[in-house]
Amino acid sequence: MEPEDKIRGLVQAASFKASPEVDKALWTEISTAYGTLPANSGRTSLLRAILGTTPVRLAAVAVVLAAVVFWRPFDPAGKAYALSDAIAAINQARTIHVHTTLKKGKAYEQIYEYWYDLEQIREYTHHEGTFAKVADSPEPHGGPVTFEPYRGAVTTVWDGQYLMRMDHEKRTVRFARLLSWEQELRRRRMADLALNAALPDVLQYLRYYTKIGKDTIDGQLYDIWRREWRISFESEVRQRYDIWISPISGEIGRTRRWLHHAEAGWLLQSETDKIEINQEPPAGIFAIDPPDDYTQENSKATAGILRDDFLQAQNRQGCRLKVLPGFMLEDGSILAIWTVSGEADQSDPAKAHAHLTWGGPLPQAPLSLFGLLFVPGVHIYGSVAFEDENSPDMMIHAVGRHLVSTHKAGRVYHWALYVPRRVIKSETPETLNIVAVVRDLQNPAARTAGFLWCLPVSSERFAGDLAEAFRDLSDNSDAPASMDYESLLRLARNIRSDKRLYKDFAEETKRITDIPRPEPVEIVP
Amino acid sequence: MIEDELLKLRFKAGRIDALQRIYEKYRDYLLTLAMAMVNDAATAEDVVHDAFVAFAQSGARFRLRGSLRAYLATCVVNRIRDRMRARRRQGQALDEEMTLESDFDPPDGRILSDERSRLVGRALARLPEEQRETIALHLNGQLKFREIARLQNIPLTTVRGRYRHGIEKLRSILNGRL
Repeated sequence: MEPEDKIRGLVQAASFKASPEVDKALWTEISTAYGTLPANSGRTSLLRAILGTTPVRLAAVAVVLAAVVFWRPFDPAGKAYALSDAIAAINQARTIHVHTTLKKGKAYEQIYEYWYDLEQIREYTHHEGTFAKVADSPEPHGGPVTFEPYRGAVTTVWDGQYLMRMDHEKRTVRFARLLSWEQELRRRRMADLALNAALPDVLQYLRYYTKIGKDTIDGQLYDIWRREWRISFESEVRQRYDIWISPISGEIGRTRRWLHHAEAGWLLQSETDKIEINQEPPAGIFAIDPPDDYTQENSKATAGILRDDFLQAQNRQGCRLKVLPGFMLEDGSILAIWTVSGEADQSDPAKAHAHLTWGGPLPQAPLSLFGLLFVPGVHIYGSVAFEDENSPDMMIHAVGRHLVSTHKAGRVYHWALYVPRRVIKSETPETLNIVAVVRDLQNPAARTAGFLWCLPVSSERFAGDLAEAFRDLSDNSDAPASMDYESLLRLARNIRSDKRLYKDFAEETKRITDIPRPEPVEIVP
Repeated sequence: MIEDELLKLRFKAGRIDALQRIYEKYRDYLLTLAMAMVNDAATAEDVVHDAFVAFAQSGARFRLRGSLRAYLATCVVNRIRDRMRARRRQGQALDEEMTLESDFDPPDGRILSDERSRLVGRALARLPEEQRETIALHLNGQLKFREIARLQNIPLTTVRGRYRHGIEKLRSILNGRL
């Protein structure tokens, strides 16, 4: 008998094509049906449609005539796809696969792979390569900061409820449990996460991309879209981001990020060679069953909630601040929850928190979430820095006031309301980047700690979400009756009317926010 | 794949050029799939027509998160199943009828193919319905076993079993005829 491969190849190669007359007739009838209500599922006679007298039929006649008269093969030339089309496609995709290589010199090459299942809300990330860590200093009080390379390979899988982190170098597995409002937050933001993994800066900078030329990859034609900018605090360093988009199919062929050094010229920083939409993920990729030969540091049953990927800051005394995802109210105010741990946090919680009042100053913790900055178009390089000369000229300060403190399993959680200077609608560009400002009691100068994640929450949902959060973060489990949506909006209005609070906050954060904007860069095709 | 997402968006936005591109892109793919399943040119043409007409009528109501290709393939498969069920209700043994019909080439040149494709069509027509559908969906429709399992609402192992048995039978049918 013939080998199986040959049979398979034969079936795959079988091809049936419509003859020109069938093709034309089919298209005519399909275009007739276009825009009309579903009717007889059987084949409709063209003649019947033309002879009809209702307005729908008359409209159909027009479509038919147009289809017959202007029928021609699809011509993509006049309908070129642009970068914005690729974003739209990612936003409605079922699965997204991204593969990126980072090249930070020869010593630090890293591979990042992402799979997002936007239908079932699951996520897989794999990072592998040579990373850098701060080297231990031989001097007791430090010395110049040096970095040393180390090998790392970490896979993280989120199945919607639990997160499993596999360290392939140490061969360990650790589980974390996601709080219910966190699950909801990730669910809502997964399309943004996927877009960010695929095309990291297009959400904020789409309109600054320019088509600079054409290129081919594997015989397919692509337009190259480029954004070029100058890093704000190092005006001599320029960056480029190039994206290859097929004008015919809209496929993203590749992305590349470049850094320009005066001496070395343009150096490749990263390349994304795969951005695939709706590919079937490899079997079992979202399973959170640890491999048999890996040591389990905990189990799903004992999984904690304070993960390392929360926004966090650490001071020299070994004290650590973790900020959990927040709730954003309809006026842009944010209910944020943070907790402090570590050697420096030796204070008696009862005494330290005795003077805290609803709407009063924040706790004097060794490290605290001091306030927030709503700043579109920034990156954080120690300070807040406008990403480039095109960043919107906007920075809205949000001051924090205490609400309540809760205790759970020996930890203290501080719940505080952070109120922007003016009302901000959620899910607008202003809320894309919310920078956390941290204060260290030992070193009072404010500093940044990263971006805060928030879940926009309506008044209808708030009570349920809050109750869930309290169950996880409080021994008493019940949220105070006074902590309802309306009360928080009222408190926010009062805080917003106190100009002195914002003046003081602006003064204290001046060092990290007063960064000059760089000069524009001309993009030369 | 991105092109399909964009075509879905443009189709939903009322662009007839998107419908035309979808039709041209998947017309022969669906015809081949349908022929592999029924080996009857008139039936294949009709089910592809019906699937596209229903799709064209969905317009702004159309919502699909998944693959456009798999969606259209599912539409064709469902229509073929409907026809088979209808014929069974009418007391006709469809497999038998189609197998007998399929000993003849597709008529009148409305659907074009080469001799090898016709031979494959005839051989597939001799398989039991569920094996034929699985092979057609996997090899002609390019659907993964998992997608087929979802579409047929059966376990993955059953899909693999049907495929394996079908291929074995095809080997025996085509033995000495290639």
